[in-house]
Amino acid sequence: MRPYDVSELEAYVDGELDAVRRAELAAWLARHPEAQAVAETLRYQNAGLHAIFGKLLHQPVPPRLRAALHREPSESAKRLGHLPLIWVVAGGLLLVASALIGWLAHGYSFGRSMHEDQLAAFVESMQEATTFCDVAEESGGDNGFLISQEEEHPFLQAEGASGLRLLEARMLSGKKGLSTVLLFSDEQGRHISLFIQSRDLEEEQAPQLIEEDGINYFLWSDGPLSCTLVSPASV
Amino acid sequence: MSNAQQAIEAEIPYLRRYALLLLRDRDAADDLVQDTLERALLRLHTCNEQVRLRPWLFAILYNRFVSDYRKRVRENAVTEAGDLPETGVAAQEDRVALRELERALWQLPEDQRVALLLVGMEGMSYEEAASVLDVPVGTLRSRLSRGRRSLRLRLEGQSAEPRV
Repeated sequence: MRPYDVSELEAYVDGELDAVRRAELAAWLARHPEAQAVAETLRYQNAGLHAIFGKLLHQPVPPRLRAALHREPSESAKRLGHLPLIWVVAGGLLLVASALIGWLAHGYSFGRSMHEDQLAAFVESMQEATTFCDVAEESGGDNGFLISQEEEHPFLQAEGASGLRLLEARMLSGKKGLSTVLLFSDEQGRHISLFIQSRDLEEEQAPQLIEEDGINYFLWSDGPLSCTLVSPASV
Repeated sequence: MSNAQQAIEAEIPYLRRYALLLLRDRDAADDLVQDTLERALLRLHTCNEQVRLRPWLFAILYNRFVSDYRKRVRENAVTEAGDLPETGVAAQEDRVALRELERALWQLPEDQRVALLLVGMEGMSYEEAASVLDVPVGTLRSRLSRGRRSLRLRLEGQSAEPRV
């Protein structure tokens, strides 16, 4: 029989070995007290964890936890439960935004607060973005008007966001630099806005859904972009 | 209440224990468990008969812990979570030894500690524990080995690898 290693002894103690190997190792351990002692130490650690923390299982469960299984999930929880759809919509919107900005910014001159190099860098980062996360909703002054029209977007329809129509796209310059705002309308005429701007890479922000006064703010960030999707809570 | 909800309800004590050992704060732990339960109900359709309920619930809980609750960890609230049992361990020396084990456990890096708790305390298979932590089985085993070695060295009074 091959000599044991600690990893295999751990698998033995944890019940991860098949019956044949387990029997082999048990027989071998019976003839090698020092290896047996190692196995006993491992067993002691497992048993010790049970002894130390076992009583935590017998504490009374707060009513609010049992109630959580009996009631309808909160609106915010429902929204989070459907996060994948939100991501699809958000991803679709961001792709549309990226394409629009890339196209519209080609040759576009702000002539006011944005320097061309800054715009070029922003557009490049937008086009390179492949995944999404976060939001920081802060737009400053209202400036560059890029587009204002109503048209169907096949990409959004294909991704399940059927009926979303782009109403307008704006470039805004604020304290944090250039940001983009896209305003969409769904079939019921409800408005959905997507804010995109560059962000500080050192500020980590997990995806977050905030519901406030009937409005949902879905925030995410990834790479150089910070995004906020704003919609009525009923969407 | 459906059978699935009843099965989930039976897991609440285990979820609370794991949440408490992650956060070391009872209120925060119960918030995390409530969050986990609400999400589990919403995703129940993704949990088929081939999926063991406890690892599935633990995975939701751990994911929520990592994404939103880790910042609420109470680093110094060690003994609150792991008070020794008042009965069941008769010998005083055993109680002292367990106290030492508990202290050594809290000295471990989080990744090693959570691996040890899933396998050693919860009795999960390597595959289940790896799925909870969303890491390959090899990574789980490596964390487990390093954690156990550190525990042993600490209990023997030797210096273990520095806490990360």
